Amino acid sequence: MAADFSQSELSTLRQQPDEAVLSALRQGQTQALEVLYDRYASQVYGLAYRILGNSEEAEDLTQDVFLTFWQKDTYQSSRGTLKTFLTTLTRSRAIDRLRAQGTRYRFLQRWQRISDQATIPLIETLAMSEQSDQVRSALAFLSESERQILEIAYYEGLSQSEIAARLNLPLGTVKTRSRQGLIKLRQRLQLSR
Amino acid sequence: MVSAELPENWQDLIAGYVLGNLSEEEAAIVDQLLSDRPELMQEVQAFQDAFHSLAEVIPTEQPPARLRETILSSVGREFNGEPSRSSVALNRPPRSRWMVGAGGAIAAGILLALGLRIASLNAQLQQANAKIETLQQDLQQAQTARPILNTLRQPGTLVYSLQGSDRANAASGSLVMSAEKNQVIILVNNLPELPSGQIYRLWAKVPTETTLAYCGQFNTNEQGFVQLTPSDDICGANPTQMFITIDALSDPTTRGGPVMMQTRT
Repeated sequence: MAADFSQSELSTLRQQPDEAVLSALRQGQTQALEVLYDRYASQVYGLAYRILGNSEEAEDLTQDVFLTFWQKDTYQSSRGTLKTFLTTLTRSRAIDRLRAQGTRYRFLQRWQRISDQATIPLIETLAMSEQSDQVRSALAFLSESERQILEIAYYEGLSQSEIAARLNLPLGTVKTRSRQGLIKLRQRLQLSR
Repeated sequence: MVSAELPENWQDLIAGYVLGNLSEEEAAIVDQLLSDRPELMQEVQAFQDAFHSLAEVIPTEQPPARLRETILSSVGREFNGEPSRSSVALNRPPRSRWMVGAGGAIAAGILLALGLRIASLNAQLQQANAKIETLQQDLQQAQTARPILNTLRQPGTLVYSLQGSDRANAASGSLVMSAEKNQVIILVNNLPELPSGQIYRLWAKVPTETTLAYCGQFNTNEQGFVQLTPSDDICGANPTQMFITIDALSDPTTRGGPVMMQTRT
């Protein structure tokens, strides 16, 4: 049975860093997952929604990510923050789903999403955290084309040749711009952190 | 840590490695670089983090409240030994219900059998994926430790104990030097994170020289160790003491800055 957790214990756990919450989770205190869910569900769901463009799919993937995280317990703090682990897992699985759905469906879905966004205001919290501000500032140093190529690679998982075809650019140009964009992003983030 | 002997386009190569767009030739160069200089994995990680920072700029969005309940109750049930994933799946409106209605009982039976088979295959796939993830982590850990073991196996390897100076009194560690292989491995704990534009430099006090010999520079990393190929053979000439200083990246390598750590005498 899961250890009984009082509200005050849960409240204390909410003040703890991820490491301590994870430790409680690994000791069988499943309520610790509640704390981590409340901490990161909006990022996971937001990213899933951004990539998949569909709230039902995003919900399904969010569930998949948190259950996988809990069941497999493969996260290691030495390899990065929990937030990075969860967003990396979310992106990877979201892109797997996009690939499984195929290009035609993806295009229709994205088109639908753009239409939805134009007419239905999303219930979203614009958490302009310091970290996201830093990334926005860093992205401002990239050319429009470099940023666009990186965004397509990240959010859609397209290969360089697929990006070249989409943007009607030579493959070599896509490679050069994506690498230059990433180098600039890494350098600007290094300076700001 | 980045040392002088790296190819000029090393950042371009690592960016391509992270983006998955290296040519075969470039991939071979990167493989060799990472094998020779495991400390470059820190750069790879930094480029990966930069790529994944794109997740930071999208608006966070609150999922529906029911999702929270579904996930947490599923975990609670599974923890108590009850099946959960199938229960969770059944709680959702089945997307293919109309097909079952149209196809009748036989179709429903086939779908059920197929569904069970798919669920079984899916479970096997998830198990296999989890196994692969574990094996990849084991492999990475093994690869991380390999350079230390290889260096320690060399004949004539020198091992020094490092202690922090007043500037880094919590720092401790060891230094392993193989003159034969021209390799130095520094294992450190609690060495302060470097301010931007600064670097740690390693120096050797050699009996035959009047000044300290510059051996190379490095940054700390999460792995807790760095591997250096000394820039001067004199570093391996049985040094009596080694020093780690903190310097500006632009400082000349003719003399070191403040001492952060030194070997015990």
